[in-house]
Amino acid sequence: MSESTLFLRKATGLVRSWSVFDAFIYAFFSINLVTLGFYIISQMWYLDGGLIPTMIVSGIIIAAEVVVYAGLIAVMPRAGGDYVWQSRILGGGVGFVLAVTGWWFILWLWTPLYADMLRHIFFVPLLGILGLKDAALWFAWQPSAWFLVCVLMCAFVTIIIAMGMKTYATVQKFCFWVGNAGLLVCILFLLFNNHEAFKAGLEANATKLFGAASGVYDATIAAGQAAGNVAQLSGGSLIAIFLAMPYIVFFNLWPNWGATLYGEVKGADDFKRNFAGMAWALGVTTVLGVVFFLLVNKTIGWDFFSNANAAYWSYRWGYTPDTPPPLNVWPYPAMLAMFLTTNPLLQFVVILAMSMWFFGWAGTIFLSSTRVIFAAAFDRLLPEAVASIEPRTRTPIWALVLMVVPGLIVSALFVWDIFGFKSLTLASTLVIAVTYLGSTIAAILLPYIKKDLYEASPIAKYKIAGIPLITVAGVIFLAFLVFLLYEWLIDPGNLYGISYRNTSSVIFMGAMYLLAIIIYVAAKFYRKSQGVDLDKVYKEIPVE
Amino acid sequence: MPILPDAQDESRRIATTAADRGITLRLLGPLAIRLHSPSATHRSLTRPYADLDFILADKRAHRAEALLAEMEYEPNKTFNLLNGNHRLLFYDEANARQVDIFVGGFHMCHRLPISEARLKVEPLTLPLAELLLTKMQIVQLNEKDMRDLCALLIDHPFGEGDAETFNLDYMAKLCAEDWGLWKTVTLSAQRVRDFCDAYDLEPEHKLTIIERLAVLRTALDEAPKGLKWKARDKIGERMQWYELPEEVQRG
Repeated sequence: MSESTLFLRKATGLVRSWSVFDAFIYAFFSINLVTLGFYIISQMWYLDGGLIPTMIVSGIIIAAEVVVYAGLIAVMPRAGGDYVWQSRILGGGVGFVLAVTGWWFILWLWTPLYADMLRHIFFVPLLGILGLKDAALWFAWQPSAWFLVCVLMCAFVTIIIAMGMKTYATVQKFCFWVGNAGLLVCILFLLFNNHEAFKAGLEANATKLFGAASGVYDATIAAGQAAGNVAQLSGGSLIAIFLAMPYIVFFNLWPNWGATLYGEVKGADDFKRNFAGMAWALGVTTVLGVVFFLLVNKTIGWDFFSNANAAYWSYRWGYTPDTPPPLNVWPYPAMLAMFLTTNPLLQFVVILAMSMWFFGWAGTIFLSSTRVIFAAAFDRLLPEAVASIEPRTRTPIWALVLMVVPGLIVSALFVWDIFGFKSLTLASTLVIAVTYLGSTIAAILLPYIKKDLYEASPIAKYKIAGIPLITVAGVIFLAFLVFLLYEWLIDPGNLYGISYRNTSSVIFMGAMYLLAIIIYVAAKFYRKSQGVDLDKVYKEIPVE
Repeated sequence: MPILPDAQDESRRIATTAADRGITLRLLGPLAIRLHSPSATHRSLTRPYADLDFILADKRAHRAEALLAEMEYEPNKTFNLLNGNHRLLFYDEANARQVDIFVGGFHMCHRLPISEARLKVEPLTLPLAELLLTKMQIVQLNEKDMRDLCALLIDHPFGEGDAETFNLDYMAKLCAEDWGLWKTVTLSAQRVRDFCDAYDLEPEHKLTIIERLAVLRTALDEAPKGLKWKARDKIGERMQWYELPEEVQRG
């Protein structure tokens, strides 16, 4: 260290709660291979775009998103992220409506999805290993069990958020290392075993743990083929690969998920550090996904794996209601890998370790959202009470109530498939993509609309052919988002189930945007009656 | 009672009002040093006192938060909401002052454990050992920090216990548990030695500072170190051993 560092410090400062590594783990967990990845990949059995090229190509395009968000964070590292950027660059109405729909309302729909993943990677395999077959199958198939998991998950998330950012980071770090250790064991099992060993392990374990009939391997392949499985590990035309992307982005569109938290991350005005945190998360996850599924192909066999997915989902979605999947639980890849041993203790420990991928990630469902709610409340668009905390535990009680209660209501609709909610899985991604669209447009325009702010920022020096890097990356990501939205909403191939043809989807999403508009208009008039001009609020960058 | 214009008087008022409510709130920073060190008024060591810095050992800060609001301080609501489990900020607009409260411990370039028991050593301020460490743990010392350190070192010896003395055993123990803290404290000691000539101090005061820093250095070097400390020592300066606090924009 140089001896000339005397007299440099300006004044009393703050050590922010999260390190860059904490932000990296948050980003890494936000594009969670084991939860989001395994879950959505298993649903892509009727798409013939190769999984590996789809992951790689989408990962490359999403790198543009990382540039956009790393830039926006560096310019305005504030709690509230998208809401703050959009409201300050595009205007309050757009900012509020797009941010609260994408960061608040649509998270209600994620509640049953998170819980669905939790039951399949935690309750079902662990109860099966413990010899509690009936309990395992109850969790696997009964809506009431699924709803119970929704409630338990909301309780867990509420507690972990109430513990504060530092404790959250500690828990997250623990889960990161333990979860990765579990994954490493699975990878080693897949690496050092062969397909015959898997077939024998499957027969032994599926029968013992879940009471599957003998001949489960061949029966699963037959059931998957009958369901119309066409999933490929590699290959596929460029069009097929792009048509798989509206699915795969359910998993990998979120390296920026911590964007709303960067007011609490050290050195958040450093573009390179922000970029590195998110880009490493994206890169490592993509490589990990490629390696893992190559090993799945080697030992489990892509043929078996994709057919198991097809047999499971076609039955669950009601396409083959008379043909229950021969492997009568969700084909969780880590569980299949641990079928390579019959040692229940080892199976239990590894599956428990793998569940840390869920528990280290679970808080992402509401944590980022609370910051958007706070930011909107500080702007006086929401009542001040919404940004209050329970003084003893420092729990943002009202923000969490606004997440959890509607989340459980939507969970009930989803779990019991009322109003066709079960078809809305990808709507969870669409609405957030619309929010990202708003931020991306804000990023493209930032150097031109907020010239002074941009010029004074650390990203002003990054240009490509004289055009600001954030604008160039923004245009690339914008094109990708427009493509995704077109496929989801118009869906010429009828592939994603949430297009204009799905009335439930249209009404659900429309209702959310309408609710946001009503809140905004009501708040604007109410504040006006109090003598507060919200337009003036949006001219100021919020304080830290 | 309105906020007092004199920072020293006001800091006493806050600490005593808190004590009346059963809240152990102790002053640190330049005002605490001013209360302990007559030399802080020396012509070469005087400095402005813009902020009031307090520390609270209890992680549940809500009582202190309520007290400051009651005493007519304006809270930084956004900051306190997001950071309130380790830091609180309040403003006194009339006197252009800021009140900064560390919650549950001191954490800037390094962490200093602050227990309720240690907070009760002094009636108004942190104990002298911690006061000195809160300054010596700063990696990028500024001129005001240098003046504070000189004032403290001129007026107080190192020794046993805490009575107007730097508790040497306690300081050595903390530095023996944390290589990073040891490193920064020894670097700061070196800088104070190098730069105290820059101030128009009496020769005997300069000598006192240099002698006392030598006592500190010897104690830090001689304190028994654990395996963790020794392992970290092997890595040395190749890995960053401190954190750099960031500025908070008030808006």
